[in-house]
Order: sequence, then structure tokens, then C-alpha cells
Amino acid sequence: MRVRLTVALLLCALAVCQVWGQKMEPFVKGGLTIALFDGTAASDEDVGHTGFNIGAGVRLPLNSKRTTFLEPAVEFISKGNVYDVSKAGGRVTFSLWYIEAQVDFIYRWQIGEHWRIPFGTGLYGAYGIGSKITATNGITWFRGIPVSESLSMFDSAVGANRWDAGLRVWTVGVEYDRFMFRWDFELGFFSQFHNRLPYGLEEGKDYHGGNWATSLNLGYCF
Amino acid sequence: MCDKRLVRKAEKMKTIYRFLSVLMFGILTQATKCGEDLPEQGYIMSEDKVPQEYFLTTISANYFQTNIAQHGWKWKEAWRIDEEGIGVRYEATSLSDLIPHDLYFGADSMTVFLYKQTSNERQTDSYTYDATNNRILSQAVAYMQLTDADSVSIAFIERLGNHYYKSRYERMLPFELNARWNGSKPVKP
Repeated sequence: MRVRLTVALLLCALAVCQVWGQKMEPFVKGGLTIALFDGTAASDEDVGHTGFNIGAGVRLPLNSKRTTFLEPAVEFISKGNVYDVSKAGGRVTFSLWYIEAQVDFIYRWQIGEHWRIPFGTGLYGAYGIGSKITATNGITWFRGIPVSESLSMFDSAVGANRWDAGLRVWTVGVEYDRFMFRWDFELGFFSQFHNRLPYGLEEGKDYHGGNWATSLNLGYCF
Repeated sequence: MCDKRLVRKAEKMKTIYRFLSVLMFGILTQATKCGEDLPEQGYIMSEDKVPQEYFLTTISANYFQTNIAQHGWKWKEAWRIDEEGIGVRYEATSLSDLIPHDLYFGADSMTVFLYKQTSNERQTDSYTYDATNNRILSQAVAYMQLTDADSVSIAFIERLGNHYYKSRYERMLPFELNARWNGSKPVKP
């Protein structure tokens, strides 16, 4: 509740910000995303999910020197996790596809005429539009999930939440004229797998299971 | 003229911020909705009152043959699984309705060592391991589902007498297995 209130207040504060006469800069971006489910990193079964993201956004300058910006963006992003299950003799892959809205607060450090170093932090919210569970032949169950069946992650048997939100812990990169390279890391606040996807062998323990994702992006600013 | 344009731009920006705020707030509200609660102890009862492991993960036939078969397994502990409720587990303080027993899995036959008050017996029969549900199918046992395994211990949901139990076994040393073979008489399952 405290987190919700803080986030709501932060968003309200953003909403009352005044921006006077600055030129907006639209951009497109896309790249590689590597994702995990929180709470699984310590497990030796945890491999990580490699996917991609593609999206577009706009830069809203917050000062006349154009050193600070708000960057709202919308992107299609794939997240999930891959488990190497040695006892089962193969791998189980969980893929989730989201439409994600992001808002970053960026400080941009100008170096010379062409080069800039942006860094910042932000928030994201996402809605799951699709999912897929695949497994090596012979694996029929993974932590209670019947992976051999055509099952959506959002079915009650798996229990993933379609809605996700969290912190864009950092976004850093380098920009040359209109081209940009970014590295960011997202940490989901909320459990996506409350009822079906804990890790480890202990039964009945409630694990967090939120989305973690890091992305390497190339972009172009118009 | 210039001022009007700036004011229009500022209004646009305000609208964008407001839209983003509402969008993010809506998403956060949805994302914080709670999912279903976990069963407390990790079992689900099927319609015919057979407990199913809630977190069942496939253990392959290859893993079974490599790590579990060709070894003896001594029974260490059991918890009775309630037939009525979902996920209710009892620690067995009295095992009076159970006959202490150990297991040996060969490549295609299994032996159950039973320790009765009058004598020690062993029942040997063929078995198959069904990796689709981790089940041991044999005349020597009523119901056995492998739920967990590592190099030193294995766990089953098994039917013993009138109840289902979660049982844990530890791997025997070779001399312990020899003692079981030598100290029991064969009987038919």
C-alpha cells in the first residue's frame, strides 16, 4: 500500500510539472532483452530467457538547457525464463509478451559537439498480450504446470498476472548525434507467478516471482 | 503570437502527463491484484481422493535408471496426507498403521523389504517407471509417485494401508542392502 501510494504521488507530481516551449524529440528503439523470474537467480536450473523489444517514444525536455528529460515510450517486449531441468532431461521455456509503457527521467551529459551520455531511472507498466510454454520432449510437468499441454501462462493453472509494473532501475548509454545506444534494467514490483511458479524444492513456500529484464537497445531520434 | 504557441504546447504537455499518470496508475492498480493463494502444504486431491504433488516436476526415466535404480533405499519418515482436505499434512507421530519398509529398484524389478513383528519379508515384482506422471507401476506397491530425488534421498507419495503418505527414503550403503537381502525371506506380493 505504501509503495502504491508513493508511486501514485510520484506520478501526480510528474503530472503537474510544467514544460514551456521545448521541442519534443520522437525516437524509435529496439534490441535484445534477457529476462528472468525474480527469485530464481540462485537456482542452478535457471538459464534466463533471451528475447527482444521494439518500441517508440518521445523526449520531453524539462529545462531550457536540454539536460534533463522525461522519456515516455511504448514498446513490445518479450520476457520470461528458461529452466534447465537436469532431472527431467531437458529445458522448459516460459515466454511472455507484453505491451509496455515506460516513463524515464533522464539526465543527459553533453561531451563535445556530437557525443552525449544519458542516464536515468523510471517506471514501467505492462499488459501481457501473449505467452507460450515449451519443453523438451519427455517433460510433462514442471512445478505442477502441465507443460505438454497447450497452456497459456495466464491460465489459472499457471497463474501469471497479465498486468505487470515496476521500476526501471537504470537506463544508461551513449548518444552520437541522432543515434543512441541504451542499456536498461527493469525490476517488476509484483509477483507474476504467485500460485504456481516458485523455485527450489521446498513445498508451499511463497516466492516472489516477478519479472526481471535487462535490455540492450539501439535507437534513432528524429 | 509566440506566447499563444507556447501556451498551446504547454497545454499539450500537461495533457500528455495527465494521460501517462492515469495510465501508470491504472496499470499499477491492476498489477497489485492478488493471485490465488498457494495450498499450504503442496498437495491437491484428485476427484478419486488421490493426492497429487502440487509442484510435480518430471523426473526422466533416464534419471531414474541412472540415479535411483540399482540402489537400496531405506525408509526414514512419512507424513500422512489427509483424505478430506486439500494440502493438509500431518506429521506421523504414530506409525502403527504402517509396516516399516525399505526399497530396492533393479533395472526392471523392484523389491519391498517389510519388517513385520514375526519375520522380515521381501516382495519382488517387475515394475515400470512412467515418467509422464513419475509413477511406479508394479504389483509390489499400491500407489507410488516419485516427487523428489537427489543423490542421497528420494520422496514418494505412496499408498500404505488405507492412507496416502509422503515418504522420504535415504540411499543405503552396499553393506546395508546386503544385510536386507540376507536378513529377509522372499514372499509373493
